[in-house]
This record gives sequence, structure tokens and C-alpha cells, in this order.
Amino acid sequence: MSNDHPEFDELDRLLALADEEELSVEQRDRLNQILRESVTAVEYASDKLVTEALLRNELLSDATGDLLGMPQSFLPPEGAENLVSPRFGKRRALLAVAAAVVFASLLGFLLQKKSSPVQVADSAKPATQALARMINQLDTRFAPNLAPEGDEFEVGRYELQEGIAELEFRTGAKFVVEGPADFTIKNDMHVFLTEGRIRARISDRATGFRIDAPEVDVVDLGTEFGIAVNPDQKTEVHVFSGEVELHEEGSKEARLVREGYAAGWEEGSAAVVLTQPREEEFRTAKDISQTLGRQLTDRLLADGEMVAFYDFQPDESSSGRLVNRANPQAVNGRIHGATWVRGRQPNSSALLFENVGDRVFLEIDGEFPEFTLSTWLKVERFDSYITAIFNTDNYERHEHHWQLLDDGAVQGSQLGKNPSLNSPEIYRIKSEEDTVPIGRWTHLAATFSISSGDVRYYVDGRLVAETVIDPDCPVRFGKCNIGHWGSPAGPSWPKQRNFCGRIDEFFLLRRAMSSEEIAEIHQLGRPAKW
Amino acid sequence: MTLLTGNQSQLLGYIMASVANSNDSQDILQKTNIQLWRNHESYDSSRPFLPWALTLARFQILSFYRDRQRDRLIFDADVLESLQTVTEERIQSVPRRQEALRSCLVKLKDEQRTILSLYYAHRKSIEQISLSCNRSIDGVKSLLLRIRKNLKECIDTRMNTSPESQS
Repeated sequence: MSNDHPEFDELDRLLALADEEELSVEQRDRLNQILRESVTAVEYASDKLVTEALLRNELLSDATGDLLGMPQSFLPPEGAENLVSPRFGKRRALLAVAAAVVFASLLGFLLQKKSSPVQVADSAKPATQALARMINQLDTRFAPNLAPEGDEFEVGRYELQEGIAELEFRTGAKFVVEGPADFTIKNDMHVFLTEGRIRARISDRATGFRIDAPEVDVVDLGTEFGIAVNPDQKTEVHVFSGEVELHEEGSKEARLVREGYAAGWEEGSAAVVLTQPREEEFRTAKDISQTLGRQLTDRLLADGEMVAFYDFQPDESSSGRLVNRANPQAVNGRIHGATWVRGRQPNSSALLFENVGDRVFLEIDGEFPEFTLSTWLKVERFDSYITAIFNTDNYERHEHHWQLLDDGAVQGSQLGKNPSLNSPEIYRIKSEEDTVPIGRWTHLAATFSISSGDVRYYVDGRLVAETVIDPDCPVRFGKCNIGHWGSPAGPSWPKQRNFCGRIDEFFLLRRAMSSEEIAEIHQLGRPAKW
Repeated sequence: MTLLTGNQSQLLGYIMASVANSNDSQDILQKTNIQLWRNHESYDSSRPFLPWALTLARFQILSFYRDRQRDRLIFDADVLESLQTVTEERIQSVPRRQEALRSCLVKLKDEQRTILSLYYAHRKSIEQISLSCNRSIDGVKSLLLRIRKNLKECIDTRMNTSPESQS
């Protein structure tokens, strides 16, 4: 057959049989034996197999064009189809070809478009902007015909029977309404409150926002105030910051009420000015978010797969310990250097990581074919190129690093087995567009699942990076640190990776959460601004 | 029509060298492309494409090996490893090999090309081809072998005499 390498005639034959799926056991063993004998044999086989693959595809590409144009004499006569063919039908091969073309061209297209990547996760804003949207809520129940469409409010009357809702108008005005309440939205700058309590926070660009009550209209002048219409029609206005203009029924003049003052009316009588606004009577957005956050934490702590949950509240008995609230008997953290400060919610704490060496040390045993990592943190600054959020000490096989780069990108990586051509890592990916900002509480999450085959990184509930993982390599954590990288292995790698900022929650769950679950954790755990 | 653009031909070649079966190779290439498509968001375009794509291909090959019964796999693990290493070392020359193949195919006579096509693309058996081409079965077999040999010599010559001739 081949004059150049007669010694490979047998190899040729065996490879041909292999492609036909007609190798006997002995022939298979012989084939492997030949390939063990010399590198030249392996090179020969490699070239031959590659050429074989290329040849088939060249001929297939001809075939898809040629079928109709083939000279008659070469087409099989009728009846020839009945002959048993050991080969697979051509339709399957052509289908595979078509698919390869589609993917190849799609890939080419996508990779060229790398400069403007397609957003994978949905943005929260709808395409047509509703007048107002409910951006947070706690146990709300609306009357059946007087309820928003989903979370969108338009012109019309609404009745909140119970619960607390935070609405944001497209003009920038926000308010928190507490049930039972009956209110009517007239437009994006005008609401009528028939009954109930509303706490409004009006940004500068929504100055002039108006809330009318039975006895009085309140025009906001850039401020935060509460308005209550009680069941017996007594209306009160409490100004917490800035000032409002009151227009009383039957009075031509407007009355200005400044912060620190409150006014009340009884039906039919003149205004009674109260001295002190009572903030505690008006719910804020923080009230909603705090309660939602607590409910979520309770749910998470009850999850049987929770390995470690740190709420970053100081432990009464020992200040050096970060208690695992899911199981105080195991995987408690040891605090080194970091100090206790205020957290993302009122009355909650966080740890401040400031100096090199500030960290929380943990030790986690076992293998994890699936896991979710989640944390709330606020970056103060980036001191080095790489900042560790949660790194295993060293960087050996099965280990995982979760890090930030100094432009705010999230970087995740896992070390694997045989070093391949370019990299000893199973994967190392980073977020492209979404970065972690400085000075803002941000939620970060990572999910890893061998059964579904991928690893995903999230920022504020949005997927920012994703890749395929090795089906054979679960993660082992062992000794790790939050906010730091211990015992770095390679001499050239950036060693100092200390996190600079605050962390007030961290958990490790023994299963991969879905993107909906991650989005919910972000939504429910978000700190409110007011 | 150019069916396989650069990287696709390299991926397919690498996969074929790992599993030695063209149907399986096409399946694995498809799965790899699906993963490449699904993961294009996380592809860092400052890094070379092919190593990343080969990594994904390797996972699919690994899955293929794990799912198959041992007696249906061609290569033992150590042999697979050396085949993959060698193929990866030569991967940059695959596009050149493809060009050489194309030039050599063009030089074939019509009948030769048709027989190749009937056998490889249309998956006709030797018997069917012998009927359609009015040749004996042995005649078809030896013709196929001769065509393949000529092709190989043609390709090798082109590969060895082209300017960047190194393997």
C-alpha cells in the first residue's frame, strides 16, 4: 500500500477497520500495541486519522452540492438500496454536516462580535415603562380588582389590604405604602390617598410630586415626608427632611411645612400643627428589606444542604470566632485582624478587612461535585491586581479560587490534572462587562455543578461569567480563607491578595442553585437606601 | 463550498485522532460546538481560541470514553494520551493539510473522485459501488486503495515541500 512506510501497512488496515467499527478484540489490542511501540507510529496514526476526517468532510461538502448534478451512470441503480450496508445512512452524515456549518458560522459571528457581547441575563427594566413599579414588598395582599398587573402600576385606583409595598415612579419618586390603604394614581407625579399611610421620598427631579388627601393637597419640594389618612378621616403630614407645600381645601394660600414639623387636620376644622414628626409611624423601605432579609436567612439556614452560613454577627462568647449559624458545631471561622463594623442593614454587623493579613480562616472537608457560594460585600479599594474573596490555600488539583481583579471583574478558576498545552487550570474565566463597584454593597455568587456540567458566576443576581467544567473533577476546599490567599505556590503569582472592604454575609451550600434562586437571594437581601 | 473553516477542521481532526471513528467524531464535534456556543460569553478573546476550544473538545471526548463500554472503545487510556499529545503538537499544521488535500482532490479524475464520494460521503458499500460503476468488487476495493494511496502521497509531498514545512 504505502511505499514510504511498509511497516505501517498493518496499522493502516487496523485503522480502516476501526472506522468501520469492525475491529475484533484481538485486532483492537494489536492496534494499541503498535501504537505503544513507537512515537513514529503514533505520528503516523495521528496524521492518517486527521486526514481521514478532513477527507470525509471535503467529500461531504461536495456531496451536499453534488447530489443532483452527479452523472447518471454513477448513481446506484434501482434495487441497489436493498443491499445491506454496514455503514450508517447518508442522511445522518449530512445532518451532522449541516449542524457543523451552522455552529461554525454562528461561532465565527459571535467571536467576531466579542467587542459588544450579548447580555445573557435579562435587565430588570421592562421595555415599556410603567407609571410605577413595585420594587419591593412584604406580605402584600391587594383587593382583587384593585391590584397591580404583576408589579406594574398604571393610572387607576388600588387597594392594598395588608402588607407593605415600595413603589418607584418613572419620574423618580418613591414611596412606601402600608396596608390597609386605598390610593389612586392620577399620573406619574400625582397620587390621591383616600385612606392609609404613605412615606414618600422624592428625588430632586421629581420635585413637585403631589399627594392629595381628603382635606389637603401636599406638594413636595424635594423631601421626605409621611402622609396618613386615618379611618376617621384625620389627615396628618409629617415632614422628615426638606419641605412641603400644603394646599388646604377652601384656602387660597399654600402653607409651607419644613422638616421637623408635622401638621394634622380634623374634618372640618383648621390645621393643628404638631411639633414633632413621628417617624416610627411610617414604614420605610428599610423596614421591608430588613424583614425580607431575615425571612430569607431563616429559609437558608433551614436548608439541609447548607454547609456553612456566616451572618457576620459577633459571637457573644468569643470575639475571634465567626460562628457557622447553620451548624455551630462545625466549620466555624477564625477571624484574624478584621474588625467589627456596621453592616448593610441597620442593626447588622460586618467585618472590615483593611490590612494585609486580615482574613477569616476556615477548614472544609470533603469533596463537592456541586456547590453554591454566596456573599454580600462592599469593596473599599483594590490594593492589588487580584483580590481574594474566597480562596483555597495553595492552588492544587481540585482547588477553587474566587477572586476580583482590580477593574472589578470577577474571576473564578479551578486547578485540574494533567497540565495541557497552555494551562494547568481546568478553567479560569472572568466577567467581561459586569464589574463589582467600589463603595456599594454588592451580592456575589458562584455555582458549580458536575452533573449539569457548568460553573457560573453572578454579580447582583446577574450571570456574568460561565463555562464548562471537567466532569471528573469535583472541588475540594480544605483550608481556605475569606478575603485572603494563604500559602501561595508559584513564585511569580501575585501573592498579596487581601480584600479591602466589608463583608457581612457568606455561605457555602452543597448544591448548585439555579439562576432564579440566586436572583432571589440578591433581591431579598438588597439593602434599601431609605 | 468551504465546509470547515480553520478551527473547525482542527477540532474535527483532533477528535478523530482521539476516537478513530468518523460518526462518533461528528457527534463529538457537534457537542463541542454546542458548548463553545453556550460558553462564548466567557471566552476571553485576548487568549488564543484553539487551546480553549480543545479543552472543551477534550471534555466531550472524556465523556464519550466514560459513557462507552470498554469493548467499544478503540484506544486504551495511555495510547489515547499519546495520540492526543502528538495531535495537539501538530494541530497548527492542520489547515495546511486541508489545503493540500483540496488541491490533491482536484487533481483526481472524475471517476476516482466519484468513487471516493460514494464510499465516504454517500456511505455506499463496496457492493453497491461495484454495481453502479460496473466494476468487480475486488476492482472497486483495489481502486479505492490506490486512490487513497495517491492522495496520501500527494498530500505528503505538498506538506513537505511547502515553505513552512515542519511537522
